[in-house]
Amino acid sequence: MKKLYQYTMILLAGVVGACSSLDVSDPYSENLPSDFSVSTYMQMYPRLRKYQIKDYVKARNVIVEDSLNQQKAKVKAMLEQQGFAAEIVEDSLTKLGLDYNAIKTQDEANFKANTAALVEICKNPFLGSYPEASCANPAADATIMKDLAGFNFINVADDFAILSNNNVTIPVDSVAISQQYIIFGRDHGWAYRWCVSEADLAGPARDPAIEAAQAAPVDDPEKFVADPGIYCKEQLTGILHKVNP
Amino acid sequence: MNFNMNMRKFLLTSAVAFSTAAAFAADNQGEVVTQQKSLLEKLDSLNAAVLGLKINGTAKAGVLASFSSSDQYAKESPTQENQAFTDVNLRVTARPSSETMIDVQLRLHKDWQSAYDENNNPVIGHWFSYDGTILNKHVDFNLGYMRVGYTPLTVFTPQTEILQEPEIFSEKRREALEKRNLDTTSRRLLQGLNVMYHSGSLGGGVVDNVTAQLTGARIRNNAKKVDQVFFDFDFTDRYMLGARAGIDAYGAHLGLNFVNLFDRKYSSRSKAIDNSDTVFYDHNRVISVDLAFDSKKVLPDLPVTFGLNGEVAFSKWDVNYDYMGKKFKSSYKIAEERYTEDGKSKRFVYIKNDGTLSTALLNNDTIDVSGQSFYASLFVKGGINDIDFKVDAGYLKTDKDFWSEMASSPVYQGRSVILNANALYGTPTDSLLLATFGASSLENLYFNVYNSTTLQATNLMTVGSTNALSDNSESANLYARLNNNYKNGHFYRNGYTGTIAKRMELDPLMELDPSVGLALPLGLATPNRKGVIVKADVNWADKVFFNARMNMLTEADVVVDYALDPTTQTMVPVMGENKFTEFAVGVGADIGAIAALDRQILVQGSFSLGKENANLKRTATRIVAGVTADVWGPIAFLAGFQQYEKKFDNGYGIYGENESGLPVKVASVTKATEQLLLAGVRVKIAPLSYLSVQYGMLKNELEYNAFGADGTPLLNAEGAPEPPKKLSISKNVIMADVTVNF
Repeated sequence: MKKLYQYTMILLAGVVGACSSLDVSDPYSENLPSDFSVSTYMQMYPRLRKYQIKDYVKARNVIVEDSLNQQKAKVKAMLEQQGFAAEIVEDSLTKLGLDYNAIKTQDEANFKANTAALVEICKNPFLGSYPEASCANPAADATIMKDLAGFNFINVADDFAILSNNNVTIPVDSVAISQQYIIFGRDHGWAYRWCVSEADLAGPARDPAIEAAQAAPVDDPEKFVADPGIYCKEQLTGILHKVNP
Repeated sequence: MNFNMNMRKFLLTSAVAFSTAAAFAADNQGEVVTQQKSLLEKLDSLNAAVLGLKINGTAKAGVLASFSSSDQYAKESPTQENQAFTDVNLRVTARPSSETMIDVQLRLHKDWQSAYDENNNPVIGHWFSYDGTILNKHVDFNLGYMRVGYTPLTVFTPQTEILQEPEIFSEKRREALEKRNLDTTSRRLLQGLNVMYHSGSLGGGVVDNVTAQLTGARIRNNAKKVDQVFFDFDFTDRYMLGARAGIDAYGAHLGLNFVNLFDRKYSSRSKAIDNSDTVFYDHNRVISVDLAFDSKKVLPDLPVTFGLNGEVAFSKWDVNYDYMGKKFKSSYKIAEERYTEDGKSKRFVYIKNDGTLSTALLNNDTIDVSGQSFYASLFVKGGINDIDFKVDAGYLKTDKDFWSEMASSPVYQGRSVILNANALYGTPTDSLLLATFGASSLENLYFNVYNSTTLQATNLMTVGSTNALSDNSESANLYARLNNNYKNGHFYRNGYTGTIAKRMELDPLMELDPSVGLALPLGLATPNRKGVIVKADVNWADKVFFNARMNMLTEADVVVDYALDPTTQTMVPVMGENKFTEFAVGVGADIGAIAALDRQILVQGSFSLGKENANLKRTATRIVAGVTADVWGPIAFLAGFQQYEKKFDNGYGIYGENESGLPVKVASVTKATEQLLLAGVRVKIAPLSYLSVQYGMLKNELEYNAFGADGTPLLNAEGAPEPPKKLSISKNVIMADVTVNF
């Protein structure tokens, strides 16, 4: 009887094992259209990349600040042990290039003075993402300047060399970009690919009623009107066409 | 010790057997004593195979007084140190059958210097093993302590070789080694399991032997009271797995050897890593093929035999470390941004990586190198009339990145102060010199101190906690703690160690004390060497001995000079080859045998010189002389003299710390001169019992240039460099002991 129980359990375990699927579903890809491409989506909406780059610069500056502060603390302790006066210690630390705030002030001034680089950063779709017209003299527009200051790597002389090569130098967080389509882009009628065929171009544009509803502010999330359409974008004109029935 | 004693017995037996054979060949009837001795030895070896329990060992009662003097000692420095002890080593062997044996070695050490404090005295066990030859003598095994050797590039211990070392010295060295369970063979002292299979003759005698060996050993770990999880991980845990296989046929041997050494990493920790901790994981693998040939098997009729030994090895060495560092931790949130399009402000939502810097356990790879090593040597040996000779010439080439830990780490690591360790020095520089450059190499080679001390309130090594005598006030616990019934600590002062050093731990030791060898401090596996090695040994009827050694080696990519860089106007290093030239000659003569006297009067001497032409520009010179003579009846006279000089033409920098804890050069050692004279009599008071009285004189002189607080050489009032300073210590040692072997 005991053996029978054992065998039954083994058989049961075998049946359960045989019937279960070993496929592991990928939670990141299963909600996306099958032909979704991160790089295409990023090119259609370069601002997604812009903010990613800005966040990267910010994070990197935090690391630089931390490592400088650590070094500074070490040297400071050493100098204090040798009995130097507090102001001499502070002065030496700045001269040794260990004071983050001093470096930051100097570096930001240099960044703002380099107009040629600023113009390039301003009009680059993945960086400033501003129309060329607004980028003739970025220093003239305080809002733009404030935005562009976020691209300054502290303690790096040639920021533009890194930024212009950002597809290599700054890692692309593809999950963050693709998931934006799920949580925001799709419901707000963002296209996910370029229109490539006649059939694509034959699709209708966005429903103006939904567009207007989305443009108006709503006070209750329940009242939000999601766009059920899935769109492609015409590369030349930027016009959207619905591709789902 | 007992193992060694038996080895010596074995060597003696084979030597006696050899000489009896020679005696029969010469039809010499005057060797009755030798024959009798041989018979006794045979009986003894029969006795060794008797089943059951057997106890033998040695007992030694002795005193040692060392008087030291130095102009550099502080006024209040103690100058005398005494040892008085009875040391009994017991070897307990139990043979449940003729195939296996349990071997336990115990030490009873009575330190008469602290005898009254000591009360009763515990027994220290220092060797535990279970060994055997099983399965019809096809499988040998060792469990517990063991000594294992593979090949010179895989598992091997590079040993100090001093040509014609007089017995008074070699006996002292053997004793110091034995205190650490070490011996003078090239096998490694390990703990674990070793199994070796040998087939014996196969295929109708075509194949002489097929062997296979597996070794698993724990190289190091830290004592813990309890494991918190199964088989705790500890920062010190290190293991070795070795395997080899070989085949012998037609006098040739072909073998494949593999060694893998690793720190345990992927398991739970017994202790969390601290913010200031850096834990290194070192992984070393070596695979080698060895080939040997001896013509004796195929050409037995030739008066000489010749052959070759060779090995090719490939190594991988990688190191990574765990540390607590700052890590940028990503955390995502949904953020809103605005932009202006067609004059209208628009908003959109995106996923923002809003991480923070936080402290985390990080791992970093520092070293990952692989290298190759190769050596091959040809030998010729034979006997013409009474003259036996062996000449060996080889070539070796080892990459800079080759590393074989099990074959490299020498057992001699020296540098400690053995005698008069309580001396105090007048200046901090002198103390630092002794602590970093190290004390006399000869003292470390030949002397050791073993004592036991009762651990009590006044000498327990407590750090950072209050003990009975802290704060100059008498603790209420003082008298309660002073008497200690059984906590007896055994302490060594010994220049030898069985610990196998990792490469990163070994580097500074390599250049300092080339007692193992200037050119090959880590034996044949020394990284970054290329060149030839020649050895010759001649023995004329055990009357006259001659040995010669010569090494011509180069080390690549070494700083050979500094030159002015015309563009930057700074001195830049010039890389080049460092050439090592080493030679040694030794001569010994048994005047007793030559003059056909019935006693041994062995006179020995050797000279060796090692030089390098770059880097520190070291020169090491060693002069050895000695006499071992049976004077009359049971009395033997033993004497030895040795002078050892190390010169550092480019100076060896000694670094101290300045007030802020930064390293600063305080001195540069240019020369170390050492002399050791040992002389004494040994009286055989009964069979296997000896009384020995010895006098020793040890001189150690260090010459160095002192540096100022700014790390530049000191100048006198005229601005000229100060003359070199000297640190000179001399020690007079008196030793007397009675040794009984049983």
